[in-house]
Amino acid sequence: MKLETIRTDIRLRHGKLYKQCVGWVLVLPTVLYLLVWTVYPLIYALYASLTNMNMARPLLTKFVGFTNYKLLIQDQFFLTAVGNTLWVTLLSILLELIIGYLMAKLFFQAQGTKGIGILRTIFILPIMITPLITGLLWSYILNPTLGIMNHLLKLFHLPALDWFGSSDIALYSIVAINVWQWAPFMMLLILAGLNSIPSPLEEVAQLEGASWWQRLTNLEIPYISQVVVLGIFIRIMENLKMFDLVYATTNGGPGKATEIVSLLAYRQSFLYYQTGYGAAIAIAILVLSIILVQFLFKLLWRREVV
Amino acid sequence: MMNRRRSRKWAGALIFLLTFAYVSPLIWLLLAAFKTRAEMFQSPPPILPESLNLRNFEKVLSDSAPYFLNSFTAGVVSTFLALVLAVPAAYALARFRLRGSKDLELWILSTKMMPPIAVVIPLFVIFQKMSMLDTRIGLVLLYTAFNLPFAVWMLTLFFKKVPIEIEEAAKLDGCNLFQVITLMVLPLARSGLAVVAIFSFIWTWNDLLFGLVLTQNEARTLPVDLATFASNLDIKWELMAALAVLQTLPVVLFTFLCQRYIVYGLSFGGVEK
Repeated sequence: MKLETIRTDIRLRHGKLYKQCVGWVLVLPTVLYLLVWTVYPLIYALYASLTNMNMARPLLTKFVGFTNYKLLIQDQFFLTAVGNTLWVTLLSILLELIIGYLMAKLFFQAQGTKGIGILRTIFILPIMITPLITGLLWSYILNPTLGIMNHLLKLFHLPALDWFGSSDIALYSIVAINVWQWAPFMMLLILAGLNSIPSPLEEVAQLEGASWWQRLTNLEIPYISQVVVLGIFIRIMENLKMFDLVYATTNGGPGKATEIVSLLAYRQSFLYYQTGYGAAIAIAILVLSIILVQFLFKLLWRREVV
Repeated sequence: MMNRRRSRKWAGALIFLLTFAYVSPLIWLLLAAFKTRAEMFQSPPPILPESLNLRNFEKVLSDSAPYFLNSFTAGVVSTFLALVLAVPAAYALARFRLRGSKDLELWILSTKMMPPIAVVIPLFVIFQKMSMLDTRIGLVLLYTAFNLPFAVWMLTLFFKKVPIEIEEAAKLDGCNLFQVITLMVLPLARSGLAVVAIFSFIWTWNDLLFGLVLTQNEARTLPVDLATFASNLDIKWELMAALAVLQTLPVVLFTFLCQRYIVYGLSFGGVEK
């Protein structure tokens, strides 16, 4: 009897250990692959950021300590780029939420009508297109000579605008394009949230004649907040990485009006060959993202979204 | 009831108008792809092209065919490799209670959040040293790494949903682990495989930054080729439009065919379907 128990105990424990081993063998290739392709380059970037590495003369690489970082915090281009990136992120997400919410309400209202599914798919097409093409497409539309937008403005007796050429509005043109591309994403998330509201609650709100504000704060926000927080999180990450859109439209100009961090790091590294300095910018972006991810992960963790 | 039906009709009509206004820039791009150079510069610009001639498409196809092929191969191969690595890993994360597996899952996901520019600068130097710049293989291996986190994360979610009883029954019938995964789990989690495959392919197909830094001619991808339009002073808008339409076509097709996977994938499975 006793021997029996010990035997099963051994078999079980053996089973557990065996399972741990098999599990790790299955996970290991992925972990190693990611270490090689993401962690190793990051360590290399960290090293490069402490040197004066220059692609035009790679043999003269010298350790320079924190010089690059000291230059960085005095670099007007870098500070503008950080400011622009954060401003574009904030403004875009705010507008995406408003447009996304309004469109989601409409789609929610019209649910069940024939053909609404197809319209929804058409509406979300901008999300799937590469931001590069979005940028090219809008620089064609907003082009001062052959673009349709200024012709349309003229038709309504409005003044033509220099969308990308004026340093006052170029950044807002970028925001507008960004919002155009991503508001449908917020719409989809909010629509999913609205659909999760139990219909008896809907009916009560209807019967009691709740105002739109009461509905929004008491009924809808509790149900859509989870997906919206998730959506904001994803959009913050994407906006910090933004590159293609600005590369395709203004390339950071005029002056430094639309400079953003990824583009600046790219230009320093690959056009001016300042690899060490570019790496320092890249590390700064990474630190910024990590801080935001940590902060947002905690926020989401509490809500058990991920 | 009457009231609600009427409001639904109004909402439907409004959505119809708004949606078309919203995607009109895309329609404008499609129309531009058929216009001649002269038509592009007419003022005011004509709405419809004179004729549906395919000259722009012929021109860009003959110029950019190899880049299409490069992008396509990179997309397919890196998606396949990511799945090969991710399936066993995701299975282990879903089924074996590994010590620290939650942390591991989060770490894997966090590599997806990383800004690509932080990796691409050192990779350029590393590729240069290993003479892997402008090679298809280098690009494919890198894309695999960037598709991998999403694949692991997504498949873990789907594998957790496969009822464990089915697997136990298969084990009793004498299936080994490999057979359990390939014969029982994968067919049941095929929507997960679809989500991963669609998104990995589209992300690779749409990527600009990696291609821009790591390729020149030999391995040049389609977005890199498209980007040359942006840096040109005298932009051939009608050719840009034709190439953009061709690049977008598969993406649009995917969107229509797989719309039910899209929200799920875009929100990393955060929105239950």
